[in-house]
Amino acid sequence: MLTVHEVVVAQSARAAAVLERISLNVKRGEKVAILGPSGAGKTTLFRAISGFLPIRSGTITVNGTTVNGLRGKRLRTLRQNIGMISQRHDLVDRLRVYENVMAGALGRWSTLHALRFLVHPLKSELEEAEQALDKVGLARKLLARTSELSGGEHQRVAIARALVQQPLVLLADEPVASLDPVLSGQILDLLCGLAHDNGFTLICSLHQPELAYEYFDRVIKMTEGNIESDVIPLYRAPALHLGVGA
Amino acid sequence: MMHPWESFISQLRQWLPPEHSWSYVWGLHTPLFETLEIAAASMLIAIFLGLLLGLFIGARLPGFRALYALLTSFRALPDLTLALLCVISIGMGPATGILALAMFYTAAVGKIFADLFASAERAPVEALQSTGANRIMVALYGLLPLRRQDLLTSGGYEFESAIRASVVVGFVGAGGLGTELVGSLNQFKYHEATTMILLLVLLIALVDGLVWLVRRQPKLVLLLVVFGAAAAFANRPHIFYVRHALTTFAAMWPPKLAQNEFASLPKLIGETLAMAFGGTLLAIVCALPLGVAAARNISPSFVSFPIRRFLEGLRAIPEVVWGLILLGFAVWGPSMGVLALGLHSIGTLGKLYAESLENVPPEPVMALAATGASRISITSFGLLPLAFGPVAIQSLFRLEWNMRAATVVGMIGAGGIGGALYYAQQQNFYHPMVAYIIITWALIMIADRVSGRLRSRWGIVEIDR
Repeated sequence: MLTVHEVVVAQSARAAAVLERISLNVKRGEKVAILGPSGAGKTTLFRAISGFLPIRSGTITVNGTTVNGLRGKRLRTLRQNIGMISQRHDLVDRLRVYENVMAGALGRWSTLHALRFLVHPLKSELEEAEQALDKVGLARKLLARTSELSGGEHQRVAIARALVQQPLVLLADEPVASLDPVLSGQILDLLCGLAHDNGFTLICSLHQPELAYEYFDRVIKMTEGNIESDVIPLYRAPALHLGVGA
Repeated sequence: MMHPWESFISQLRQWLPPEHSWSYVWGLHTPLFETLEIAAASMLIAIFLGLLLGLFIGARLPGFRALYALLTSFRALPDLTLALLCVISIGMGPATGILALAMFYTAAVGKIFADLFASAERAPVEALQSTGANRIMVALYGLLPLRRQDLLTSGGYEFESAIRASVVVGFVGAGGLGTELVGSLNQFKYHEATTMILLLVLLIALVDGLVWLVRRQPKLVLLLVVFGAAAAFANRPHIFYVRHALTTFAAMWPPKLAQNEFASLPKLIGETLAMAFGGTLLAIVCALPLGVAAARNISPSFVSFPIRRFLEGLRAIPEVVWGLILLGFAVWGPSMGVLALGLHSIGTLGKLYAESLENVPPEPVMALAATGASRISITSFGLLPLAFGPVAIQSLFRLEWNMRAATVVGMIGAGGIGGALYYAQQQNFYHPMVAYIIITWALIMIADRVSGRLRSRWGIVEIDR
């Protein structure tokens, strides 16, 4: 599904490389955690996979499409297959929750369709948004203002948006960085469950090893732009997790 | 010989009391309405086109850099200069004012909106891009809602500025209060002029209130749309002298200066620069203490309230009108320019300084207060250093603006390039007139560029960063 081969990436043309000849393979449906301290290059890797950063050397392919040098319509088509959830506040506060959720469909809509939806959303579109929100347990917030959401609700709406997008790969960049342990467990439960049910590949960067080993099929450790280890956890550590039911 | 103080009092008597006979005040409703029409129609066009251009640049559609450069360079032509050119192409009357201001403010609003979109939060924009949305969709779902409040604030500020400008373009025959004001001053009817100036101050205060309401109830913008569209339709140019305009513009080319005009250029440029720098410096020196006095988090309300009203009064009167008032007090030449720019800028900077002081993050100030520091110590060691960035940037913006305004006050007797330009236009000396317009444009472009460099060094995001 995703192949990264000997990739070197920098934040800008003149800057020093953040990723140094990194390689990895992720299979369809796999749930992978990427662990590492701040500055290890996790976000840079995600941004390079989505085509936000130019690749200095090496290749990245997603579902058979090479990301290197893609622009315009071809880049947008690729991005439709790659969902992204960020650690930062990445919803548009001024929009209603259903508008943020349905923004996930923008890649497959025409511009006129997108404009019409803002002015006059159809019942079927609202139902689609409601279904996605239902899967993250927030159907009641369909018509709410986004600015009124709490931190955890915010991440759930971002996940609902990714569900509407129907990606093949979901990149979650530290989705629980600013959440308390209980909420972190709930969000990771939700993400892994949805990946399993919908059959998409999940790659999630994290700070906390205990969460990585508990929820994911595979754990990759990164330090200073390199992969330090790539392991399949032999045991899970329930005692360390303070999540649901704790 | 009369003491200067006595002379001042006797001149003040010419202006006071304002003409307040009912027939005169009632008669002013026509020019007042015309001024409102010019402002509303031109701003409707400017906001509509400016929003489209801003979104085009903000969405980084093909050619956005060239378009941004075009807006920046067009904005460097002062509004009164554009009005002069419009008079040549479509004659006198409100249509001229609407066209000139629509052009000036389209460039201004387009540039401001583009800068606002460029500095929108990156995370939501990138999240939208990562769904595969195209640039127009990113603009619709991201840039526009993310920046809605700022668009309303700066749109409101520009509208207030357009009201003042619609009086100013009246001076060259675009109608409204400006034409009426010049008429009264030419006939030495200073009492009437005072009435009109007070009316203008009142009008700006009303617009201020309206903008405040629109920020809370954005649907009220529809009022501007309806009134602006009706005004634009009612004042559409009935005759557009295309052939006349083209032949006149062709005859202006190439720009040319006679030897004596060329020799006096350094003096003219020096006078314009002196007015811009002098006026800004005067304003900074006076606006700092006034800004502190007007800041509601520093001064008690019995001080801040009257100071705010005083600053509003200074700000409501455009530089050119201050210039005309000073002429009435027998002040002319570059010193009149410095005073005219200074008086208006004190009002503007004082208000902005006060707002910057009020917007200082509360935590460091509270930490200082927790040490038991006095109000003066908190202001000197907390508020003033924390507000330094915005204060410096606003002062720089003012200097940039005053470069334009120095040309405009030059036209009414302060001298400099503006004076030479106006003289050339009045005498139909079109070759030197175009030369002066180009020099004015170049001066303002250089000032904009230098100020832009400094601002970006101080961390203000612009599209050409």
